[in-house]
Amino acid sequence: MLTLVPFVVALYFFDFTKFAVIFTPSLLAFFVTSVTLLVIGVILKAKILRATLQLSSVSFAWGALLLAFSVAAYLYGPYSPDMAWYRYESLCLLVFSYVAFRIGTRVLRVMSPLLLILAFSFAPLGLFSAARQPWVGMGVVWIYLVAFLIYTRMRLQSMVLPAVVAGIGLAMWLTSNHIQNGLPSYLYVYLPVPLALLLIPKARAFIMLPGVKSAGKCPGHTAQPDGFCSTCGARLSAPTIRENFGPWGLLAVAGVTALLLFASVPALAFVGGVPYDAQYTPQGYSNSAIPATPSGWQVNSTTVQKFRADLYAVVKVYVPLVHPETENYTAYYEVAAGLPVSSAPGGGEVAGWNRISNDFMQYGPYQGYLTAYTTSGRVMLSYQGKTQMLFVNGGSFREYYVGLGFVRVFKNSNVTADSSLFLGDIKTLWLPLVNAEVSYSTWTNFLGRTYDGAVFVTPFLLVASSIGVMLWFLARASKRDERLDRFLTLSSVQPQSSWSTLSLLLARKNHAGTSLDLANDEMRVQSRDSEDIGVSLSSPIARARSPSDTLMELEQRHLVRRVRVENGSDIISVWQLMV
Amino acid sequence: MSQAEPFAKLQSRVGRNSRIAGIGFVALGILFLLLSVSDQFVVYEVDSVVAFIIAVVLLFRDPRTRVPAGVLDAMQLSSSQALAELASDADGYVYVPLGGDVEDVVVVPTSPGSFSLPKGGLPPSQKRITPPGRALATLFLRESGLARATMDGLAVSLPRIVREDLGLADSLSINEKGDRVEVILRGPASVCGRVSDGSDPVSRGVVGCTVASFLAVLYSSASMRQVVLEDCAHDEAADTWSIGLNLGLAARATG
Repeated sequence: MLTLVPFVVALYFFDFTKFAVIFTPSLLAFFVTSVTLLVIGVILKAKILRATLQLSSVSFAWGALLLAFSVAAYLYGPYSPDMAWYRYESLCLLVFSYVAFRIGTRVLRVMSPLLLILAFSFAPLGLFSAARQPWVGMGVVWIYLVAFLIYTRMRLQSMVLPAVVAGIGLAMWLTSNHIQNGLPSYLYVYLPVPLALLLIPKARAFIMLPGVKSAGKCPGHTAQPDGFCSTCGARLSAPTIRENFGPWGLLAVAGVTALLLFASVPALAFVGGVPYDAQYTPQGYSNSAIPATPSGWQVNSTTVQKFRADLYAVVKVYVPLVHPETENYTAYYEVAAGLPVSSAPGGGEVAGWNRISNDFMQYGPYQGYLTAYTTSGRVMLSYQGKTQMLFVNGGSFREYYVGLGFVRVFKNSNVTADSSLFLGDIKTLWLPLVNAEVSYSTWTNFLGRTYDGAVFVTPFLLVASSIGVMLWFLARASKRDERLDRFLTLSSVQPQSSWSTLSLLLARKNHAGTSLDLANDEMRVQSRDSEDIGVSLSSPIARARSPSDTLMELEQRHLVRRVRVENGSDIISVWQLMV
Repeated sequence: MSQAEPFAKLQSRVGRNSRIAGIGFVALGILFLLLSVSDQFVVYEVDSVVAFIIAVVLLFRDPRTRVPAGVLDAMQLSSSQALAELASDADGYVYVPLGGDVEDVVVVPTSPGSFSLPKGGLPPSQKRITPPGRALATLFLRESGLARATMDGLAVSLPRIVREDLGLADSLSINEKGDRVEVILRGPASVCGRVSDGSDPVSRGVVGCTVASFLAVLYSSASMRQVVLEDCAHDEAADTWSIGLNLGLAARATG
């Protein structure tokens, strides 16, 4: 698990400070309660968990599924009402997926109720309104108790301690909500105090899970490679199997971490009615307003305008940072659903000025006209262009007209020199910014097309996936019946001894039992029969070997299999029918 | 509780998953139908139709594995012939119960001129053949729940089990006259594998037909007497097979 630490630090380094919200009075009770329940759960099934850890096998599919959920929570977090909660859940899911990838899924399965409690150690109160939070809090405690009940396999005695802890935790949280500044933090340290009950032998015996219920004394342990006795099913030693490594899982986590760290999607977006160059990253989005200010320049004045069909229209006057009095450019930027209607002098007549030229000019993606006006001792140069760009607006992709214009008035009569300076400035200062905007627009187009494609194929995907799920259920139901029929067909032609053993196994609860159980059952049946005819039989232990051999034969015929099941506070290995 | 009882309970569960799932899909189909009416969404409409089709498949499809009768016939024909050829030097074949179980019944070739074995059991050197119908006889006992075969048990159970559980014939009747038992299969699922033309040395005693052998094993075990099978008689017009069994000397249990 140590190899997970670098990935966690890399992905959640900036989130750790956000997780500190767990330790505030409104959430601390849940955290301490859940951790206490986790500790109680581990104490109750310590032997089982130890054995399960040794016997777990890894699963790439489960690991990948959990990792996908982790990534989804990670990405959605910054765009949700409670980023810290989503990031916390993402962290939990990442840890679970890593366990599935590299340690094993069995331990996850055994601990699944505890893991659910752990996932809710950060109560999702932030996702709900203040009026609903008391109900959500009680719901979370209810989840703790139900999960723990499932964990103990409905053993009510073992629920006493968790119920006490959860009850106190809930009371502390409710009290904290009604007190100014909440309860002092040190009080929550007393929440795990009921654990001390486990130090009292009688209380411990009452709460802890019972020991393994054995069918009798094993005539002679025979250890299997998994460390379990083939006769009585008891766990004798550690398994002699290879330790899991999970290299593909490690690679998957490393790859996903790298993607999450470096992935960034630029887009043009309307946020609050203002157009932005936005960068969507796993950490959220950053943005800069359009039009951007060139380096070495500053905005002297900004005037927001409003025309019909406009979404946004602004006039900005730019001046140099050094000697701002020497020159200035007035920039007109407009985003409109229809053709932009700018107040800039763009090709038309301007009162008091003589238009001397009006030439078409392509400026980046903008198509427009460069117009020169003169009056006594002054030259006014204006460029007005327009284009169409795709924007993300309110979660949907919309194509708008974008107008961009620059105007500068020169205090001389040299039109040629002024034109040259004007064009040089707008190409040097603003064209790189415009090109960046084009790059954002290209990404927005790509995202838009992808979105449109997804919207188009969604009904087909829905139909295909729903039919796929239904067919999967059909196949599962048919397969189960066919397997049962095949079992019955195969078992009916087995030799008498095998058939008798199958019959004994069938008569047992869950169709499962150890060889010793079956030997005892066989003896019980024979004793019952012998009472009728008055013949005594040998002890059950003397006959224990026979079912064991038969079961191994039946295993080869795929009629029975060895499975490991929880029995009290430990795990035993039993034979189970393959039906 | 007999050993067969847990199997019988399990047998009743075959098809249960399909039935439950089928009912579930009917409910799902109705739900999708209601949603499609209210939402006019094509996905609901398609899913509703698919759910009903799946429900029909699940509710009406038999999950039990079926082997076509022709396959059984083909298998039986060649195995019968092979068995007969392996013991072709014999004059006839006798089913001999060496113990009380059907598993103890063996087929013993008899030397020319002798109809049955001498009273007193089999000499150790005597050739013994596993009857082709022994496994079927074992299956019959398991299906019927009988611990061992008895004449009364056969009279009661054989017609029902052969018709309902084994599916070997539409009906079966038994005629007992002295030492001869005649079993008549009406509408048999499989034909007798033995081809008798009178010239074949094996025609003097049937050993290979699985169904006839199955009956011989049962009657030999039930009566604890040697059994000699007659040739199977086929009435094509009535679609019946008549299998005659001659019960011979009482056997003494020997190794």
